[in-house]
Amino acid sequence: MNDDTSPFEPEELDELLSAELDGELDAAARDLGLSAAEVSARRRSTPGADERRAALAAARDMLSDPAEIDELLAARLRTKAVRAGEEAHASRRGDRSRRRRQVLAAAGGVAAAIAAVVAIAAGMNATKSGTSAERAKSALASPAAPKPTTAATGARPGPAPALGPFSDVHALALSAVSRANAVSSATSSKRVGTTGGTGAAATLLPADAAAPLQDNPAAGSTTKAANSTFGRAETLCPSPPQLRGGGTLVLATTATLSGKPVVVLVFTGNGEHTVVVDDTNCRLVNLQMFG
Amino acid sequence: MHDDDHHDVLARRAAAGDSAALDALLRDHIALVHAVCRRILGNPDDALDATQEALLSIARKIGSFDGRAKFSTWVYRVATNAALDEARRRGRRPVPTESLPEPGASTHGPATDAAIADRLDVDAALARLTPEYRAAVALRDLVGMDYAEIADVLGIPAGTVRSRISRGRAALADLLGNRETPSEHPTG
Repeated sequence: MNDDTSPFEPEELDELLSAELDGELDAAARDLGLSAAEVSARRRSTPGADERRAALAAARDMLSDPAEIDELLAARLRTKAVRAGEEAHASRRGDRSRRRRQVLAAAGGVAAAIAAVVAIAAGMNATKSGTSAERAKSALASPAAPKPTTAATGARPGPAPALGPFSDVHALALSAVSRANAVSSATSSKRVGTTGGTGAAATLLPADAAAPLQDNPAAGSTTKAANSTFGRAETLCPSPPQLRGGGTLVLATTATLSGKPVVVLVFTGNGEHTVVVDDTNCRLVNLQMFG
Repeated sequence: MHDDDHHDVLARRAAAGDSAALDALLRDHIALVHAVCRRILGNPDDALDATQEALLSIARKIGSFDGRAKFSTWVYRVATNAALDEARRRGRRPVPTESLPEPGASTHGPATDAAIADRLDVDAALARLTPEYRAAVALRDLVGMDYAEIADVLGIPAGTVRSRISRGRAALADLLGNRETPSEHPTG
């Protein structure tokens, strides 16, 4: 403990005495780094400390005497304030209603936006399907794809070859003939059908359409249309010289031969099937005939 | 019911748009709001302007009173800010505007004359201090807040509150002649 009993400086004394009047002496002493005993000792050694305390107490009493306000004036100020409060309350209520309306409007807007997004998404999906078809079409038309088939059939093309992958060209030709026969027997109607499942591109020319155009006038329009359709394939990948003027295209499809895409054309004529395998540049890869 | 609880109830009703509750609250607080403004500003006209501003502010913002502090603390915070704003707007130190009546010319009784003289003394003494010092004195000696509450209202440490109150009282004590050699006091 510090034995310092030196008198307080005037301002120090005022602060301690004033704090004492307010019951805050301990906190004040603590802030000054003094204990209660030290404060007492030093206060006793400060001349006029008690008189100063009385003067500060008198000042405090005077300071606690409020200036009065005229009753009428007070009533006027109050009335004005209450009116302002009512206006503010009405304004707040209006704001709340406005906010509620805004929230409702915003919610409606969000709902509308969601509906619009859903509609757009649905539209885009529909467009995408169309676009996918177009893209697939152009993919098949690209060098890496069997464009003659697509161009020839206009059927739904796909990334997978219709006949699947083969490493042996003979097996591929047999598969093509088998497919041509299967589709031929399944398609007895006079129409151009498509086969091959998803992404497959295999087209069968109906049997009666297989006859030479000039020999089958009754089926002329269908045959003409079919030949016109396949003609494109033939134009892109013209039939080999040995088939020109004879044989009718009955199946145009695709396959992969030793990892390379190929176009497979099956012609029929004179009771025989001729299978032509072209690469994507219409270069003849293989030609086989089956009786 | 305790005054604070009663006022909190009234404040909630006033916030909900009850004008009678708002009027009751203002009636209960206007005298001290005015007194605080008067003490801080030291000028009756400025004090009335600040009182009006404080009441308007209380009435308009009652909806935002969240009840975390005592309603009276909130009210005197609003009043103090209104008075300090007014002081800054006027940019002048308070000066006593009332003059003592000539001897024998008084129309008041002796008690009233003494009160006016006291107020002049108080205003003159506090005129030596800045409004921020006077605010601490007003909140302590008029409103009766403890140092912690005053510190909260004014946003200053409790030690600063103690110092400001002490200087306010000392200024008045000096003026009243209780000290032969007045100490220096801050004047702003």
